[in-house]
Amino acid sequence: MIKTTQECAVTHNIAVEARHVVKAFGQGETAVKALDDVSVNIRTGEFFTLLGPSGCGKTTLLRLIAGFEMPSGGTILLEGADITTLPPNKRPVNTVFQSYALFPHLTVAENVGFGLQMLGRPKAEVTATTARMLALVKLEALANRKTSQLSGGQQQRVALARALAPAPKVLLLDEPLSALDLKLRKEMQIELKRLQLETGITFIFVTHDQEEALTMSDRIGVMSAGKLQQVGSPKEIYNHPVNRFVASFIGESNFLPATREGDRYRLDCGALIAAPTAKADRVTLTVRPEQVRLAAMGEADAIPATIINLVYFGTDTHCHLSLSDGTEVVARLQSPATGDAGLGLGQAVALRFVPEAIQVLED
Amino acid sequence: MSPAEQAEVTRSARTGWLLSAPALVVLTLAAIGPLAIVVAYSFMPPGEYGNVTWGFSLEAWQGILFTKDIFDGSLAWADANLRIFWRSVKLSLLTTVFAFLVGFPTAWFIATRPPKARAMWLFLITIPFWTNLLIRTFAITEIIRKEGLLNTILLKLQIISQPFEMIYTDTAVFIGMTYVYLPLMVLPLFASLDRFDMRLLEAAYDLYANPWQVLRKVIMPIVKPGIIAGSILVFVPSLGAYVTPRLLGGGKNMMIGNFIELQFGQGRNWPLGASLSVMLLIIVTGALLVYVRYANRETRNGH
Repeated sequence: MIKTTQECAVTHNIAVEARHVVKAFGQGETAVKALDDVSVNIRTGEFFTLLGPSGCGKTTLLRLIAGFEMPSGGTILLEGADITTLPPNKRPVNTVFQSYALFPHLTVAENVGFGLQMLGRPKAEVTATTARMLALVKLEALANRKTSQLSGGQQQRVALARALAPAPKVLLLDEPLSALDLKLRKEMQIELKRLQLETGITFIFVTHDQEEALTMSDRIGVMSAGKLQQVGSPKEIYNHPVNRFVASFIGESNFLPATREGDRYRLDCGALIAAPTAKADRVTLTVRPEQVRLAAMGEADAIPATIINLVYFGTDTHCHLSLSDGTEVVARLQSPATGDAGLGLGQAVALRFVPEAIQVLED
Repeated sequence: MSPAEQAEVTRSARTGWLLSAPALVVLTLAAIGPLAIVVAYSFMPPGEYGNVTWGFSLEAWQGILFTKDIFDGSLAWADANLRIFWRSVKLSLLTTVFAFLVGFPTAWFIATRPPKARAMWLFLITIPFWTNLLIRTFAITEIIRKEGLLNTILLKLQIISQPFEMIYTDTAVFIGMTYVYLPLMVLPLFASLDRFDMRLLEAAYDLYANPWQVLRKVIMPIVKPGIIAGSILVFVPSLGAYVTPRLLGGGKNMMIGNFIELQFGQGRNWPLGASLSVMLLIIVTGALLVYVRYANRETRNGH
């Protein structure tokens, strides 16, 4: 008995499960596969982000979960129940739209209460929940305004309150912050995270902004070309990308082609480097710019390089280096207190990679 | 701006409207002139062979509701007049409602086509306007008369054994008016639906609305201006329709328009015709005021 309980604690409850989901638009030869065999488990109560460039299929996956589109193949389960063919109004799932899609003929309060009203809840409950939701997003004062009289940020909050009011099992957010300016976006990021923690509702958030994904998510699913490339926590995704796409899409990366020699790798410039060994002989090593250090000539593992560009960012300086075979490496160096690191264009230096930070990509 | 320039601007703003004086004069004469004549005629006694004689009389107004007995001069309700009024209002309302029921799906269909196809469909909607109303009405006669197209087909297919007696009935007038005024409903409805943000449909479905609720709670309230405009455009000319009831209703199924014409023609009672015309104007204005106020109150409540 005790063992079973422990198992339960370890295995997470699954809110949404996609099994081999395929979505093709168009017919026959000209059909475009927006989603190509995507399987993913989204845990109950987590902040899950679908991250990818535009056209990668992340919004399509969201729309399939919402029920606006039917998959061409595969199944979608909500808390274990098959919802693949249910219409959107029969799914206990709500969406915050990119365009907000607020009802222009209704007031703020009527917008927020719309879902509960459609569910046929008693009037007292609708009023009470609406008031609670408006308080949650700090819009009590604007309850009787028309939505057209609100600013973008306020409309965003109404859209959030409206989608949260029916207490959905999962909240879907389709790039909800993309229409806001930078300052407001930062505020709403914190706000969203707070709402998710307060309500305990599973959030599935779609964005193309990697910083947004890293700062807000419990887990991230990185998508490209209709496929899920990697699923993991922000740290896993950033520190252990599984392929070149993930490594380059999230943060910046240096890519160094290398060949295995025993338990070490020889870079094309001739330097030998220690790294976790992989099966393939020909690999790409990847290192984040902040894990590249300038070293003294002759130091162990130091690689000679030439400075070809210096870009000053305030807190740090990006130092573009060229190895002897022409491979370019970027090092992000913390700016010294004096502001002058004593570096100049064309200067010959040596660089060193932090050994634990080197990732081996077999692709 | 110098004070002199300022004065110049003020002066030209104050007197500039005088430039439109010719148009204003024409409009005033064209709009108010005939109306004033009609109102004046309605308060005069009739002439012997049509026209009016100078003087003041309320008989024409009395004649709308009452008939005077030729022998003892006692007043009785003018049943025939009331029936004509009632038929006009009833048929116009039916036409408006039916034009909406047919026009809304049509406008929705057009508004949801790709932009290029939309222009083509709108063009098709306006094609009937290219032909004279009289000819189109005769064409309907050809379809619904006893030996017409509809009856022939239904008889040949053995769906009916006796031909429908449709022509020269209220139904025929109703069908004819719906056909004639349908485009006037479709066009303003399309204009409203064209501006409708289709993404709101997804939002409504997402918030547990079923298709019927989406229509009632989201689409209808938002396109209400189009519905109001379309209803007015259909109801007003229906009420005063002349050609359609004349051709499809025969002599006995008159509407107000035919009744008014009768007074100025065979009836030789111009004042009665004039008072009926003014009465029609009052009914239309009253109906519109009630309708618009009712529609606006609903909008304010947001339901």
